[in-house]
Amino acid sequence: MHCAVEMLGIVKRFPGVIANDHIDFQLLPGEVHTLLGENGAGKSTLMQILAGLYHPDAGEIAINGSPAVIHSPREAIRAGIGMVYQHFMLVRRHTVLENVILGLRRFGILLDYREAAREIERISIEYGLQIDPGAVVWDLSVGEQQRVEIVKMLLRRVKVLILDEPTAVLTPREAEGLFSTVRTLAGRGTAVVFISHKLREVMAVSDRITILRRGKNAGTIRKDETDERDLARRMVGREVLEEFDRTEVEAGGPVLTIRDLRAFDNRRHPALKGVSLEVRRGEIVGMAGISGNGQKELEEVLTGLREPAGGSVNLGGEEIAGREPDTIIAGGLGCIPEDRQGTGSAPGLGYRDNIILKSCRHPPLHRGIRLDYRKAAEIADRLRREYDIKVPSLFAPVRLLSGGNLQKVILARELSARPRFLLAVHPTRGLDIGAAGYVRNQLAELKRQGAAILLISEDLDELAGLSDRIAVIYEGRITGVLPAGKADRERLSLLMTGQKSETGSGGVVE
Amino acid sequence: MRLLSLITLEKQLEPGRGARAAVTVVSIALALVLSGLVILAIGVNPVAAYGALFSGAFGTLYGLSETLVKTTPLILTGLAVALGLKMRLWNIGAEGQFVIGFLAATLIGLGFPGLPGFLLLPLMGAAAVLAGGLWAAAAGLLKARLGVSEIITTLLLNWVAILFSQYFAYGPLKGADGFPYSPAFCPGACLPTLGWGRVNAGIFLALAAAVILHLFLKHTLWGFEIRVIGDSPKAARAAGMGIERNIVLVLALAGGLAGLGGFVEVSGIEHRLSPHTGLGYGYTAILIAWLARSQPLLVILVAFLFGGLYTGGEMIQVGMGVPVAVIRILQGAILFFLLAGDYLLNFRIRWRVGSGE
Repeated sequence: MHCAVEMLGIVKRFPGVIANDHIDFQLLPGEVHTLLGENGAGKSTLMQILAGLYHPDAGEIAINGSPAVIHSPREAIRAGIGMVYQHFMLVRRHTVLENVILGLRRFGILLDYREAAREIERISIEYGLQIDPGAVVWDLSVGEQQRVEIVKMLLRRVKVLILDEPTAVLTPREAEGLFSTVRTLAGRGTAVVFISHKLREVMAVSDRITILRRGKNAGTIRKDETDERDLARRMVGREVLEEFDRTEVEAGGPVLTIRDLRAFDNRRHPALKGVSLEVRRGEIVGMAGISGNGQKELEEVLTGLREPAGGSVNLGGEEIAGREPDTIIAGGLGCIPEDRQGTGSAPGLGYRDNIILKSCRHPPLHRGIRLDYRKAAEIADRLRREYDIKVPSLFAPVRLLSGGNLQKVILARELSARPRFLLAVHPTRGLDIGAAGYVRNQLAELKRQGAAILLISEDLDELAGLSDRIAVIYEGRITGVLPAGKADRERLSLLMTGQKSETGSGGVVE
Repeated sequence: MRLLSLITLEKQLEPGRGARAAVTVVSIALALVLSGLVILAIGVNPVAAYGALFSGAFGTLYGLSETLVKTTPLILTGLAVALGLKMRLWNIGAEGQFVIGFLAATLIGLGFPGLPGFLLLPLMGAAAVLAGGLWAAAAGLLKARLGVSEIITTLLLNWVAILFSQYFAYGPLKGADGFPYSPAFCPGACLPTLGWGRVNAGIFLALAAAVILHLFLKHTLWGFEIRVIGDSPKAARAAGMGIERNIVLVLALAGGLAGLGGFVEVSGIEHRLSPHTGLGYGYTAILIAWLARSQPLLVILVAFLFGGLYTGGEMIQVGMGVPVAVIRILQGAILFFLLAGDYLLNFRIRWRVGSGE
């Protein structure tokens, strides 16, 4: 039986780094094959070569036994290989339907929208992927957008589907749905390549697993030959102990007080319907909730990017609701945003410039009208070493960085400003164990230093491990706040789906 | 995309190094060829024409002086467009900002004939800068507050400025002899010449402006903010930078630069208001800014080359009967090929023998 895909001796270099170092990779038809590895190990690059986005510097590719040279994503799709990327490639101003049929000839010159909608509907039902063809993409949550990407590929009848960190943006329930979709696909003979860090999911869904380490293939094994601990060890080449550092710190007075906050979303529907919450000095308040229940709007109001419709937000005695971002930043608020490439960084600018994005306006960088670039380079270099950020140079555009490295840049920038309040939104999404653990330790350390932290996350284990209290947001309201000790998955899931907490105090600050 | 079955264009993520420079050079070469064909069609030898153009513009002291005369306003309008481009703003209104500066300087110059030069000239310059700045700021405000495309507003304001200026030429400033030309400037309103043809102190102003702008962008906080906003307005806003404020300020400064160009032209060369429909410097400026990749120091070089084009073009019109319009064709062709080339940088050509994947 031919391999669905065979890649031999693939080499790919970028300025300053070898992303793929003579990698061999075989994919069997109808299998679910996971590519596992730390950030920067080369997984995305390898698959992007297969999907036609990059050309290998050396090596060969064979599809179904015959040699193939793939020059572009279009050729890849024609060869039956489709990829859903970690950073979506959707036209934000267009509707779901328009995005899904983009580039297809199938629906004729006059674009038979109705037929297209029917096909989308069919796929949606067949694979259990809920989407609304008429919705405009920039309105959708990240999870919904991902579903659109998957449907896009399914419509093109691909035989190999590559999913790059797909569950990074899905809730636990949606992830389950994705797994059954994947299993259905595999059952029908479609091979699925899963790029992931989440060991539990890797064990749940894969047939075989290939580990990449520093650009090299570190082995391919069947699922039944390994376990999570073994995988973790192979990934980093050493024993890894998962440990959240949660020290008990005496919580101080309130730093951030949100009272009855209301706001609309981009569709002018109410997104926050009276949120009240308090975050104290030296504590981490986690916020659990399914993506799309007001977290995005909350982040935007707190950082000054969205005008609230009512209520108040008090930071260290100052009212910041409705103020400009620079006032809020000056008041001591730091943010690790959900949208790393959009709001969190300037993708075309270099590492040095991104580090000083906020600090550029103050001494020591800002003197008179001058910007002290030399000092900026010093700071950037120091932070690079401190946070172990892998950049080829101070000036290479950060859009070329891997997800984990980009997050480290943002982290370095925000934490070095010593905020008194930090808003961290999905900070470990898409990061491997090593990087995620690092981020969590940084958050714990920041808490030890007396900052107040609001952690919005979908990773319930992370929330349980780091938070002192966990608030649950549902449809724009806080349905409950539980002390960490009392927050188990069951209770949280109930609150996340709208059931009020047992104490019946949903929405009230405690 | 298949052109013939032999070549295919496919998208590539990373244009090769040096490809940018190659595109610039090839675009200019192709444009020269295209215009050369037009010259040939008129019955003139293109090589001779280009040779005469070059030697006319740069080969003689007189030619060089005329080239510098043209270079001066081109630097300033070129900077006006380049500055906008740094923040992804299209300042199509350099022409109108130039004209309004021209007009403002004229009004001051004619209004205070008694003042000595060292007082009058700075006053005229300031008026021109202010006028050009306000002119562009209006478009900036509309963009910042209401999101109105600056391409449209700056373009339309060009006509307003030109017609406004013509109103003055035909009306309040009309000379005693009845022609739509204002009276000539008094000596105090004229920029001092340097004893070399018509070259005047304006060239120093233009060079200084370019250098100052370069230093500004490179070393100041404001230059950094402009860069960030140009790359990612979202990230800039989240970082606390003022987008709207900067849109207005950048366009105002750009307009001021173009207005200064108007001052330098009227005070150094024209010495009176005439019913021009603009001189085209503002539009050429777009080409210059693009070719110079929005770098102020490169603008000097490119403006100089274009100044030579203007001068040489006028000379071969007289000397060889080649209409000056050919120069416009050349400029247009350069822009055309340049834009196409920049776009094609995103693709690679694959040669294929036979069909199939």
